[in-house]
Amino acid sequence: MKLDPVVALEIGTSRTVVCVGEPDENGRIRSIGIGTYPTTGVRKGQIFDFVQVSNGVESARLEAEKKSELDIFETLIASTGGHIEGVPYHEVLPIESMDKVVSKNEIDELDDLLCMPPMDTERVLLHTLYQSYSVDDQPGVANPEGMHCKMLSRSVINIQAQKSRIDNLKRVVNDLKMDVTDVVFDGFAAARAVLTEVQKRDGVLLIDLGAGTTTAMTFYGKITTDVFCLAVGGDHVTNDIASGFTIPFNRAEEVKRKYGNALVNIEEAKGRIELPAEIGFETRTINAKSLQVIINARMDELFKIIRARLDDHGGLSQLGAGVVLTGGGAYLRGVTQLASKIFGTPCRIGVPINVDGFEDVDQPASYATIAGLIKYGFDVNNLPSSKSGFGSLLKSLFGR
Amino acid sequence: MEQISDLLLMGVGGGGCALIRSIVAQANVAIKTLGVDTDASSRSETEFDNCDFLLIGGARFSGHGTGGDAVNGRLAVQDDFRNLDPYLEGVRMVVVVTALGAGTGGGATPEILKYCHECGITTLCFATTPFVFEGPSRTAAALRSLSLIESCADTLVALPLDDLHCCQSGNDQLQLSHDRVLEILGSGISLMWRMLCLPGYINLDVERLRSMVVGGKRARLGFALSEDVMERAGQVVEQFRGCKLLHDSSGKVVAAEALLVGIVAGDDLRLSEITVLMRGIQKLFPKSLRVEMGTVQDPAFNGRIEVVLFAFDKVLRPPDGNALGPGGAVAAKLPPVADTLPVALAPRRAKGKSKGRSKLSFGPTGRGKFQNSEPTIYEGVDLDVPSYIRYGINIEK
Repeated sequence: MKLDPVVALEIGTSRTVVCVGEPDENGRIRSIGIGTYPTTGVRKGQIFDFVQVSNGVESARLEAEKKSELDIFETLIASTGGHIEGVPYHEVLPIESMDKVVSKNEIDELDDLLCMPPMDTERVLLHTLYQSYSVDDQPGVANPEGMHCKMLSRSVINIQAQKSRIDNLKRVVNDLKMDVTDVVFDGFAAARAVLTEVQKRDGVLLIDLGAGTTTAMTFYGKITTDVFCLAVGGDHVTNDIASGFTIPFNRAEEVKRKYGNALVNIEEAKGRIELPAEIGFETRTINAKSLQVIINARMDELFKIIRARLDDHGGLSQLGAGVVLTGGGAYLRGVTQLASKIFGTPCRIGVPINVDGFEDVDQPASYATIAGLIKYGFDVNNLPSSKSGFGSLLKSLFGR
Repeated sequence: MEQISDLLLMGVGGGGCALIRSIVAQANVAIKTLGVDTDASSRSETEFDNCDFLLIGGARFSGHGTGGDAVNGRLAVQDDFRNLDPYLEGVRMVVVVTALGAGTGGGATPEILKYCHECGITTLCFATTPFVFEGPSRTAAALRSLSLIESCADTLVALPLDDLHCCQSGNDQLQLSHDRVLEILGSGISLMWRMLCLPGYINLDVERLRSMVVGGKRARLGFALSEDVMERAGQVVEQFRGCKLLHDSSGKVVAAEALLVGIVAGDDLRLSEITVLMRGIQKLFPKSLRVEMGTVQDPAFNGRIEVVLFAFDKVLRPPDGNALGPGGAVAAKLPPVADTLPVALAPRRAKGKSKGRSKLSFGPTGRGKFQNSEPTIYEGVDLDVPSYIRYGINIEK
């Protein structure tokens, strides 16, 4: 049975991407048309100019339609921003049966309870990431069916977002006469594209370094153990440079891309960097070492915030498969070495490996989220009960 | 006497029910009271005015108690949460008293506190922990419950029975010792009620108490009395200095950040006595940032003074009074409460971890592109301000 194509949309802080994917003859998922457009109207992952964002989405859609030779009427959307939180939640179910043996029905009842956490009405639940069960005082039980206990409990991480922000995202799409099939947390999508099951089993930290936000997710024993979002990204590095040298933001972005380094490199840091003249901007030079110091201060702080979070949750010792960086920020020079130094484990750039068609694009790690969205769409469509909608299928998809 | 309807005194478990009886007997004021237990025999402890009794887990244990199993205590209350609703209607603050060790007190109390929290009700919990001679298993069970209670209650006052027992003569008979412990505890808690209900020149109102309780996490309770007409204020201070309940494990008086002091005396209470008393208490707790006090004058106390002292580890002023309403903003912002058997409390961040880093916001300075956007504040630091500025790094242009 041939599956329908899946469309995904990512409204990033620096770039809007629309991608169409379909399975090839070998069953692998492949991108068949990518449309991109520079984003204006988004800051730190949040929309502040609805019209500009809408124009950007339309332009990217037209390009993707042209490349894929398909008309786009519905799409998945990625959501990001500091408003997204991974909130731990726990439920306990007393085992009522006389023999005190856990049945399948009781497991389902507990999992249903976990899908209905008490929440602020202004928040919306994006995903429920299930952890292992606890049988009375014994934690870490993968399948409690048939076990004897008084109380069955389970934890989840609920990924919650601000309702109004999600509604705004949907409105952009709906105004362009498209339907939204589901809203997916961006880090969650990126993980699906770049991580292997072995990495998730051995323990891995995925850091998605976007322009406006940074997302960190940790996995251990094939379970998502923590989710963390911070509205700090590549734009903050650029802003620091602009502030440090009193130059315009776009010039600072150029300098960052061309000469930036997250580590202070003694050899490179010698001398001065010349910034050529432009209209309204005279030729001038800046100190190369200062540039590296500014970038290093920001990236070092960002990684140390994530490290402190891991420290608090005991996740630092569970990184057998190291650190994986995605997003445009992963291509900043020296950033993998800096991460490796701070987390004390190997670090590499993660490119989409579970979806084809991104091999030839510039900076493939910056397409991790969109590739993951496509993969997510097909995984959901492939489920036997997919008629019941995306949200209800999360449990079977991510119930680990 | 008028009953304060938005305050509820709740005793959980057999020990808790006995305690509320003692408190009400000594308070001599109308208190809305509820006893909650799995053991139907506790009903007899609660047969006094304004007191109701709720049997929980009746379908499960037929009123015979939990057999000392805290898990059973938790199951019992989970069965009967809805039965609590009528007693909680209109209540803004619940004072829970319980005796920990095992069974209903240890198992049901965290669940009840969590339920109150979800209903937007402020909770203050007094929990006694067993005597050392009762054995390590009861102590361990009590400590497990205590950590759960701490995560569920707005303020927890833990009262080791060994420390309470030190306040009396070691030669008393067992029953007398037990009664005396109940009396001391009852006196302390009932004094709080008297301050709220009875007139005095300096009043403690319910909202002030609530604001202390909402911000506090752990508190210590001290109680002292004197009948020496001339030196009673000084004697009370000395009693507090030696009161084990106010000492930490190293034997020093705890470093409390806020104090709530209640003084009950007769018409002969002098202003100079209050001055001596408050100065002496504040010297004992030099770091306390906030002190609230109330006095009650009752002719029956002529020649006598009783003082109760709550020392809170941490108290923050609420943003405004309105935010403290049931289900209000403050309640909603409280951290999620634990309700589990295996409680995985997140480790606390080490104090001073961010030492050397400026906690000051630089305001608009250096925010550049983010000047008009929602700031990214992390642990009190505005991350939109360039890192090199916040770290004080000099940039050579």
